[in-house]
Amino acid sequence: LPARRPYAAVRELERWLQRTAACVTPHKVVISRGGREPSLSHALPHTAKFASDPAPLGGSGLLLSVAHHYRVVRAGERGPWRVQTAGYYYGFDDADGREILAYHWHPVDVPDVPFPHIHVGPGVVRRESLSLGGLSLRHNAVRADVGRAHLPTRRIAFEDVVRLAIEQLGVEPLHAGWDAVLRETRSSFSRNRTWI
Amino acid sequence: VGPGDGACLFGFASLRRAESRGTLGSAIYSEVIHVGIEAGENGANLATKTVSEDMGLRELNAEEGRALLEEHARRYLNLSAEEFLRRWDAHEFENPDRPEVLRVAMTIPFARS
Repeated sequence: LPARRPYAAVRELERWLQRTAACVTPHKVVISRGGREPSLSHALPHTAKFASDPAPLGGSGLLLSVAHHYRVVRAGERGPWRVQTAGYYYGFDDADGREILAYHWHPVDVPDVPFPHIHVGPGVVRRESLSLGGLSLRHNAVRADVGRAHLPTRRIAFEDVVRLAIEQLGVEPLHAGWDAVLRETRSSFSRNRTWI
Repeated sequence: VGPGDGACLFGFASLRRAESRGTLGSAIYSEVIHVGIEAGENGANLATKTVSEDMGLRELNAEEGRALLEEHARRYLNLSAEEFLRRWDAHEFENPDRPEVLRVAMTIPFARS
């Protein structure tokens, strides 16, 4: 959301991230040093992530990993300040720490893959299946081509990931108002996004 | 929150926000979501669940940021933070988009900002 001062723009990001995360985990989000300051043109983006990452999610045995890159920029010389998403990493692990799937967008970190995508991880294969085959938990039983693939997606909002966790992956929400919170924050995302 | 708090009926959420300002001018938010999850006749059986959300995110200092990168590099790649940064800067990771590499790379701003 546009704001008069940089820290106020970041405050909106903070509210958004913490409110969305609080639907499924009490874990706190932290930001990198200087994360409320304007971004310099060639500097690394600011980052927000769980202080203890990944965060366990109730009722499912899943863990959620989050890293959100952002820049604090101004529209013109005197325009409002706003926070622009510069990249993200939202991933689910199983209880053994094996990644199940991960939504990525990292145009700066890995410019060869500039589009948003999803990875399918070794955690999609049940551990019982590995045991039956006499394979260790470290074995990646996913087809090699799929396991390496960057499957294209649209830009994924953090709310989409939290909603996926609750509605389709069996994660227990931490409060009954989760749907209203996700609708509200997702609506704000749709109004203020600058691409896709 | 009691039956008289009309917003807290089934299906509705009442958001209350108290804002205060801490030192250094940064805003510290305290937002409490009161959610009615069950309401009987006259609201007598109103049950609520309260979730507190501290809206001011903590900013890690330089030492904490380096420790975070070190922890991630050791856990996912069995490398020190220093060695990870050297290999990352030299583009030595064959597939830098591998999840275990990227998880560490996404924490670089904590150590270098």
